[in-house]
Amino acid sequence: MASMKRFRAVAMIVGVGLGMAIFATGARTAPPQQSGVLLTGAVKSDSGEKMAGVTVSAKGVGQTITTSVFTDETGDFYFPRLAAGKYRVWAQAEGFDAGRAEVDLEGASHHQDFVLKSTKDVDKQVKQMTGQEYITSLPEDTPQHRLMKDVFYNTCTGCHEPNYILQNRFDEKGWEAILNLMSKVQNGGGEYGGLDQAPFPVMVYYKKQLAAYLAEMRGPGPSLMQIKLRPRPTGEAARAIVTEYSIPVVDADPLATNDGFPTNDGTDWSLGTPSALNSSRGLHDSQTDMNGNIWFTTSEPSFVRTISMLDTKSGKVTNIKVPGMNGLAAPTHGLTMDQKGIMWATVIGAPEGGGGNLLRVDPATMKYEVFPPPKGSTGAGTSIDVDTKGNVWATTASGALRFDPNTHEYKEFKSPTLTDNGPGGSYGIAADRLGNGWWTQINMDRVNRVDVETGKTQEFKEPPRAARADGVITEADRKLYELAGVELTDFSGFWSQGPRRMGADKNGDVVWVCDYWGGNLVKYDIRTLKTTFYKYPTPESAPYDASVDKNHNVWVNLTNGDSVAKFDPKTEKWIEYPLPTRGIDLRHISLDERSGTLQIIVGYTRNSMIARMQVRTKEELQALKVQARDLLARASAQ
Amino acid sequence: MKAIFRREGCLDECGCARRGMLKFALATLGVFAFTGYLSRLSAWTAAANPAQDAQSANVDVTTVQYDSGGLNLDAYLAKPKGGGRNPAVIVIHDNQGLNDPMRDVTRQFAAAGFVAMAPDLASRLGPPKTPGQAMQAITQISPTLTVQDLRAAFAYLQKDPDVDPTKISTVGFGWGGWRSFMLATSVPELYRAVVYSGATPTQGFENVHAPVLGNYAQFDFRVTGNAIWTEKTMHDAGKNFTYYVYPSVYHAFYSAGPQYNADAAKLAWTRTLEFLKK
Repeated sequence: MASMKRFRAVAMIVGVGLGMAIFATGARTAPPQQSGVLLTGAVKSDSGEKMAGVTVSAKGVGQTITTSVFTDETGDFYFPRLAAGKYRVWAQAEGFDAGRAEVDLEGASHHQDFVLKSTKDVDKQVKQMTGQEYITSLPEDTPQHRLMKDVFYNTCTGCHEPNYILQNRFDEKGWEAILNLMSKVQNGGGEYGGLDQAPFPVMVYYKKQLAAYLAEMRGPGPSLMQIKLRPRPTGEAARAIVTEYSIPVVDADPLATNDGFPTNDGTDWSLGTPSALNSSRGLHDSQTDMNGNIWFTTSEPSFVRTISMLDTKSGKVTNIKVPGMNGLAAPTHGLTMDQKGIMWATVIGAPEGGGGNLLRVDPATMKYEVFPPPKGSTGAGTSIDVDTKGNVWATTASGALRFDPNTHEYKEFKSPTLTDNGPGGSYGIAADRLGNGWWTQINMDRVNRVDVETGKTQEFKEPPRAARADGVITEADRKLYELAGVELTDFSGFWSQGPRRMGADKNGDVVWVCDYWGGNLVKYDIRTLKTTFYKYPTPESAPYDASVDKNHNVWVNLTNGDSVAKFDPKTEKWIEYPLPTRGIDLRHISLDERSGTLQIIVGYTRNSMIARMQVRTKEELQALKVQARDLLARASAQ
Repeated sequence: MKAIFRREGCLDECGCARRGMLKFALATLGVFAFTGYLSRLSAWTAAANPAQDAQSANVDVTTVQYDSGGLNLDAYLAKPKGGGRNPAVIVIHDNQGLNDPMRDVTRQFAAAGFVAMAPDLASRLGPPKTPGQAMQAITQISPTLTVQDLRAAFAYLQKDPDVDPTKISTVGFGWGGWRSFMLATSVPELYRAVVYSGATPTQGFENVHAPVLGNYAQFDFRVTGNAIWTEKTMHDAGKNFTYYVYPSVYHAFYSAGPQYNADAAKLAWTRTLEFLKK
C-alpha cells in the first residue's frame, strides 16, 4: 500500500551572485546568422547510382554548430540557408568512405556534389555501424551463439552502447582482460571498484564463454558477424534538418581536447564510437526554455556544471554551479520546465553533496533555489515531470515525490513492491493529465500509478520478454540469474523488459513507457488502465524515453540506434529518424512546439553535444528546390 | 543512473537489534551468563563495559599490538578462561571497522572455546578515534596491505602458547569476507576460512588448502550472485567450498544494525561453529 506523507520543504536560496556561481563558456566566435547562401548538391556512388538517404553535414570553420540534412530519393540535398563563410561539408553513408569538401559559401547559392566510394573493408564498415546494427549482425545460428548474444546484450549494453565495445577487436585473452576489468566497475559511477569488490556475477560466470564468443565475432580472424545495415532514411525521415551544438568539455585536460571539445565527437563515422574519456561524457537531459535556449543537466563529476544554458543563437554556454562535495558542482540528472518557464532538475549523488534535492532555476534571472527532500526520504532521483497543475514529480529510491512549488509541500508515494527481490528504485516518471503520478521500476519490470486523491498505488507487472536463448538456458543459468537478482540497473536478466523512462500525453488519456531491454513502447490508458505493447521493429534499438506531441504522436529516443523514432498511435506505424552522429548514448528526449514547428531536442551524453531536429514538410522542401533551380538557372543565364 | 551505497550494519542502532543479537547468542552459546546484559538492554551501551561482559562469558579480553612488516597494529584478543591449547579464529571486521559488535562476536568465539583475535585493520593509519575515522581509513588502505596485516596476525597466533597452531581459522564479515578468502589462497597452514557476505578473489584457488564456508544474504546480489561461480571454480580446482544463502535478508544480516536478522544470524553462527570445529 502506498504511504502518503506530507512534508514542508525548506527552500534554501543559494544562488544569488551571478558572478560567483555562473561561468560562461562556449563558442569561439559567433556562428553564422540564419540567412544567406543556399547550399545544395547531389550524392552518387562510385558506380554512378544516385544515393538517397545520405547524411550531409556542414559546419562553419571555427564554429560550434553543425547542420545536417539527408539526400532525397533522387540523391539531392538541400540545406536551409546558411550564412556566408567557409564551411567543411561532408557526406556519409554506411558502406562508403565519406565524401569531404571545404566550401566558401558566398552569393545566393552554392552547389557541391559528392561521389562516395564503396568500401568492402569489413573493419571500415563495422566502425560506421550503430549499436543496433552490431546487435542485429550478431548471428543466432547455434544455441551457444544465441545464449552468448543474450548474455552480451543483457550484461554489457546497459551503461553504454554495444558499438563502444564491438568496434574493437581482441583475441580471447584480450576480451577476457576487458571482462576482468569491467566486472569490477562500479555500477553508476563507472570507477574501478578495487580488488576486494565483488565482480558482476553474470560477467564472471560466463567470462570464458563470452571471451571466446567475442573473439569469434570481433577477434583477430575473420568475423562470424553477418553484417545487416539499417536502411538509409527515406520520405519524412529524409526531410529532417538536424542542428547539432558542440558543448565545450569544461573539466577536461585542455591539452587532450580538440581546442576544448572532444577529440572524437562521433561526427566522423570512420573514427567509430567516441571513448567518452576526458570528461566528454556527462551531458544528460536537455530542455528548451521559453526563449528557445536549451538547458541541460550534467550527471558526471564536474567542477563547473550543475545546470547549464545553451544560447541557441550564439552557441554560448552559461554554467550554473550549485556547490556539491569536495569543491565539485552538485550533479544533476532529470530536467523539465513548468508552465511558467521555470526549469526543474533533480540533484543526484551523495546526500551531503545535495543528492536528492530538487533544483529550481528561473531562466529570467538565472537564480536558483534548492529544495531538500522531506526527512526520511531518499529524495529526488533520476527523472522529473510537471503535472498540469504545475506540481513537480520526481522519482525516488522507493517510489515518487510530488512537490508543490507554491506551498513547498512534498507528498511521498511508495512503490507497492520494494523488497520481494530487490530494492527496486524508480527510474522514469510521468504525471498524467488527471494529475496522477506514474513511475517505472526498471529492475523489477513494474510500472506504478498513484491516485493522488486517495493516495492509493497500483502496480502493473510487465510480462517477461522472450529470450533468444529460450530452450538453451539451463537450470544453472537460471539459478545464477536468481542469485544475481535484479538489483543492478545496468544488468538485465534473460527475460527483463526494463521499463526505463516514460512520457505522458498531457492532452490525452495515455502514458507511454519505453522498455529498454524488451524494445517495446507500452501504452497505459489512464482511465481504463488497459496496457498495449508495441514492439519496435528492431527491438535491440533500445527505446529509452518518450515524449508526446500535441498531435498525440510519441517521440522516442533509441539509444542503440543513435536515432529518434515517431510512433503514430492512430496508424500504429513507426518512422525512424537517424541522427548524424555515432555513439551518442541518448538518454532523454524533449519537444518544443511553441514556435508552431515541432522541434525534437536530445542531448548526446557521450559526445558533449545537443541536437535539435525538425522535419520539413514536402511543401517546404519543394519550395527550397524551386528556389535552388531558379538560382541555378539565373546563374547559368549570366 | 543508479548509485549503490552500501553500509555494513549501523553502529548506533538501539536495543531492538541488540536484543536480536542477544537472543541468538543465548540460544547458541549456553556458556554465556547474560545477567549483566539483560539488566542493560535499554540502549546500545552494553558493550561499553566489555570487561564485565567478558567476565560474565568466562573469557579474558585484552588489547594487544602485533608486528606487521615493522608496523605495530592493534588487535582485540579474547581467550577462554582456563588456558590450554585452543583452536583460534581471526575475526576480520567489516567496513565499519573494529566496533563493538565485532568485539562482541570476538568474545563469543572465545566463549565457544576459541582464542579469537580481531585485528583493527584501520590502525595501520594510526588508532582510529571515532567510527568515522575507522571507516575512512578502511577506504584508504590498499586491500593487499590488509591481507598482509592478516597474515601477520596469523603468525602472531601461531606463536601464542594458548593456540593450537594447526587449527587457526579466519572468519570475515562483509569487507572482511574477501580478506578471509584471500588468506585461504595465500596461507597454506590456514585451517578453515569463513566468508560472511564477502567477495570471492578472482585467482589463486590452486593455492587454497583450507575448506571455505560462505554465508550469503539473498538480497546482496552482487556478492551472492558469485556463489555458483565460486563453487564451480573451487570444485574444479579440487577444493572444498560450501555455501548457504539466507533467504530474504540483506548484506549485513549478521551484525547489529538495520539489516540484522536474528534467525539468519543464528543459523549462520551455528553453521560457522560446526564448520570450525570439524
